Amino acid sequence: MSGQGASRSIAPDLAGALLAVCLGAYAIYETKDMSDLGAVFPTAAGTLCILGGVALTLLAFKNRSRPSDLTLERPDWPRMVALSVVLLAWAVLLKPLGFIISSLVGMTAVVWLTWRGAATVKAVVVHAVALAILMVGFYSLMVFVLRIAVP
Amino acid sequence: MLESLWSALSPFNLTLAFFGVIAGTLIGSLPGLSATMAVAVLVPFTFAMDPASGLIALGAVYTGAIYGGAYSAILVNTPGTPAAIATAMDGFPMAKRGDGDLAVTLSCIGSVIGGLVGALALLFLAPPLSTIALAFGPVEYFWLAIFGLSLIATLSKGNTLKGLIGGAIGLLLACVGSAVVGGDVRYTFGQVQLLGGIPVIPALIGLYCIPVLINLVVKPDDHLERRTAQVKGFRLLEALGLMWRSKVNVLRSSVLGTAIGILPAAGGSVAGLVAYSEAKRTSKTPEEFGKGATDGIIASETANSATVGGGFIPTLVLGIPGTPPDAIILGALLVQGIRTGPQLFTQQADIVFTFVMGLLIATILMLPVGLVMGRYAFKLIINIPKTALTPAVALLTVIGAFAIEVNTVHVLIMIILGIISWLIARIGFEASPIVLGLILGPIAEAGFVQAWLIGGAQGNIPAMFFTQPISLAIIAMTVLTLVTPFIAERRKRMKGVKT
Repeated sequence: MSGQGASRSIAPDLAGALLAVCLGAYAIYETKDMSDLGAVFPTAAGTLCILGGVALTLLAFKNRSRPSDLTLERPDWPRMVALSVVLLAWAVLLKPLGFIISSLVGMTAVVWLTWRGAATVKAVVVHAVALAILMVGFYSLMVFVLRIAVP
Repeated sequence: MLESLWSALSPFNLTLAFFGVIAGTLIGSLPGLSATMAVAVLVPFTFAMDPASGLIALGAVYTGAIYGGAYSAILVNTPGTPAAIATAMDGFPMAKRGDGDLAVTLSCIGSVIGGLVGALALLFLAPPLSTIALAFGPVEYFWLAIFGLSLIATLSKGNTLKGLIGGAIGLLLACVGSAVVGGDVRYTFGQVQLLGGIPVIPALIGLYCIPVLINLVVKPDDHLERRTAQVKGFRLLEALGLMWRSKVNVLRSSVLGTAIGILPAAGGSVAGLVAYSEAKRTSKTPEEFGKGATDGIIASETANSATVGGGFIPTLVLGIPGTPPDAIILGALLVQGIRTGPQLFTQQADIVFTFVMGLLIATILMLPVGLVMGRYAFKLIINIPKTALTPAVALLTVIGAFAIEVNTVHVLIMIILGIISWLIARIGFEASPIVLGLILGPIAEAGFVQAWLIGGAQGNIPAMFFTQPISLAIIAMTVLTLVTPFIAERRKRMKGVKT
């Protein structure tokens, strides 16, 4: 963990540089099957990524004695991963389960992940009503006003 | 012209303008439900109206939608429309420190002033200004897009190098799908759904909104500071004072917005970003930008609203729509039997002038409507418990990504890009440069390839790129934009060494 005034950790910069170089190398490798004009922009963007990654690495080592301007907090990884899974499942199940059921399940899961206090009966009822109002409101907007064909 | 004003002020037209602004603001404030969608929804209803009334309704919805995008940009860090990308940069930091009401009021006043300047340009200068659109060929668009990309140097908060890498990543994302010219299939991993490329609106929602949603869930603290919610209200006088102090910025952003609105395909997002960058470049306190600078919001909102009137200039005079909503309105005009062209302003002057007057009135109506709606939106967001806000934001992101083309793959793309955006934000990469690359990449590539082919056919490619006067002016602006932050950084360091 690094913070303002703390000695600089170069790990975030090195991770960013590695990402940029890998992405750039892959982008350029893929241009082998493209036409000359079709390859111009991917090659340019890939080259920028690689050069940027190399420059970022050099600067990270050069500036490692300077205080860091990047404040990293330890994230709540289990909640983050669970939320990502919920959102991805919501997207995948949107068609098979339909808009209403998938959204109700998805929103309930998001509330559960956000919840930190005690779950009293009153709080649960209030949230259930709020979710129902949200669903009815957005469903009506989509179907009756905007005439979007929801699954 | 006076007759047109009275016609626009008829109770029916006033009612249309009033409800049009409300509907547009509401739709524009919801991420993913764009100005294009708001205008498209209304088109069938206008067929039963007389042409001027129909146009007033469409213009009011469009104006309201462009402004409405500021609400979600300021309050949840998610631009409701691409035009509000730059608004989020300072709007959300202001909301976080408890000044969301002031940010909303500033965006409202800025939008009204920008909208009025754009509409007045449409009223008085449409025929001569429309020639600007014709002066832009592929090579000018290429350089304009490169200029837009150079704004990354200004927009990057603190780390220009990471901003440039982010811009390159955005360019790579823009390359996904069939190539603009030539039809090469690039980076699709064999997925047919990616042939059309990365959809911009779902990408925008993902890159901006999903990180906010993840932070809402993983962090135990409040979404926004609650200290000022019940005390300050509209803060109208304070906002007017800030606008007056920022009058040069307001004027410059209005003119930039109108001029960029005239250029087909450039639109509100480019105008907002260019005006924001210019405001930062000329500011005495550029270090405040990105941390809640009022000048940033004023520049972005004034410019993006000015594009509405500016965009109508080529649409009405040349029949070339500047933005997708303009294209829909052009279609509505054709259905009504109105032929666009230079003669429109003489042969059907009554309809055109009534429409422009209606647009002016709708823009003025935006002030009370925007202030009242903005105040309640801020109070709602600030008082709503986080456990109720997160499912609403989650539903909005899913609906917004899905609604554009009724496509679940877009929802998946939005979520994946959002998770990546949150992860790379932890190592110092911001969403804005990536979005800039994604939006400007196709414009730059199409302009480059077309200019290359034309230059090749003429036998002199370098002359094509480097001898046109407009191109040279844009190249000079690009160099200036790229060099300024480095000079400023160097001066700052020199000052630091001296003290």
